[in-house]
Amino acid sequence: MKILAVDDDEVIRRLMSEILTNIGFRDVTFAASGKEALNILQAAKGPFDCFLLDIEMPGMTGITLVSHIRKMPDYARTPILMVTSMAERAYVDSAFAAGATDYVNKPIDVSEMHARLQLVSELVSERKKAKSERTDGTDGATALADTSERLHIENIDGVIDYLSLENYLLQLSRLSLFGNCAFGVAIKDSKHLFEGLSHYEFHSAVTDVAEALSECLKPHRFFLAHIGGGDFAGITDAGRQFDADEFELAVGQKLREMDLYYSNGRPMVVHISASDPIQLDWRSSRSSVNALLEAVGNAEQKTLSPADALIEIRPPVKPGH
Amino acid sequence: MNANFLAGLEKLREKFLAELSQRNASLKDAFSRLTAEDADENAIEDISWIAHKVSGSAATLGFKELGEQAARTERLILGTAGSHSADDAALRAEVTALIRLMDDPR
Repeated sequence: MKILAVDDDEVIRRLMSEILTNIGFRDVTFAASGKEALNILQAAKGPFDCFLLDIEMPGMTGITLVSHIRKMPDYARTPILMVTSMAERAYVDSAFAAGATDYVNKPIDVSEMHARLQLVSELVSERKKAKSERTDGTDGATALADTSERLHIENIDGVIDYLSLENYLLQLSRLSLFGNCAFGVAIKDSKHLFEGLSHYEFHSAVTDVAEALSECLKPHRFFLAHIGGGDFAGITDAGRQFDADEFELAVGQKLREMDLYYSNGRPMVVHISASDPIQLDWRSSRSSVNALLEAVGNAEQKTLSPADALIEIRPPVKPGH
Repeated sequence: MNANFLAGLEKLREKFLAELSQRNASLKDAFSRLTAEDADENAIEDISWIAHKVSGSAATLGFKELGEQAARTERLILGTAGSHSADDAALRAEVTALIRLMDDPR
């Protein structure tokens, strides 16, 4: 795995070099500033697989550097780990909002660093394998969508990848989860709604729904991730103020305003169900992650009204028919 | 952990300690400027920066108490940004403790 590590402190750079070599990661390039890192990226012959970034650096902070890296098409999904002593929530929130994948606190714990990078390495290998399989097959945009895929959605406030959402929650649990809640959202009858769609159409539809959810969550601090099919998981600091029924109405209104269509011109009518919030106040980190999935399960259950159950037993109808 | 790794860490500890005395001289200078009659407004930023640098590497290299003290000092400054004066007893106490540990890191 090819890593670019950025830290202005020479002692830390040498320390990282020792640690990374010791745990089996030897292809590491170091930069002493954000500017130097960007120059390295511009000149690089092959892409990097992972970034390790300090936050507090003179000139350009690590968070600004994340934003620059995410704007580069080659690095839209590349894992970025913040390695920092800045543990306050404001830094954690800003890092994940800018596009960080994970957050490792200094002082560096060698075992923890090893575990996190091992997971990243497996993710990088899986993605490379999936990419080579796609390259061997048909055009990715027009091929039928795998609707179970967790989509990467860009440029919508508060919408991040599910892996980042889990890591954010784990980091938040080290600070304080008080006042935060998990919630789930499920698109009603998503199985039929998305049936027969190309990857491009599926991505567009999910992105539109994500945009509506983001708009309606804006009064509060939140992060949201697509977790496959028509399902989303989220965390918000709305706490006990989060009202699932009001949220469903607001999102429904927003989706009607957005006036969605299939690519063949047929209107796409999307309804969502939102779970009741699950308060995270005193939960452990692992229990909080479980709460995310529990909330999504609750949202899915809510979509199964008697009318929806009837649709379930009808034969599938292809879009355009 | 293999022997090469431990030897590498030992070299880094030596380098860290060599730089620590320079950083401590800078910290003492900044603290003097902060507590002077005509206090230097930049002194608090210099103290925060030195504390940040020390907290980043000290504990990883085995100087746990020093790392924690540096982190505490940095947190205090960041948590009350812009509101500190030379008379702030809490800040004086934290910086004094940090200087003492940098004089004799454990």
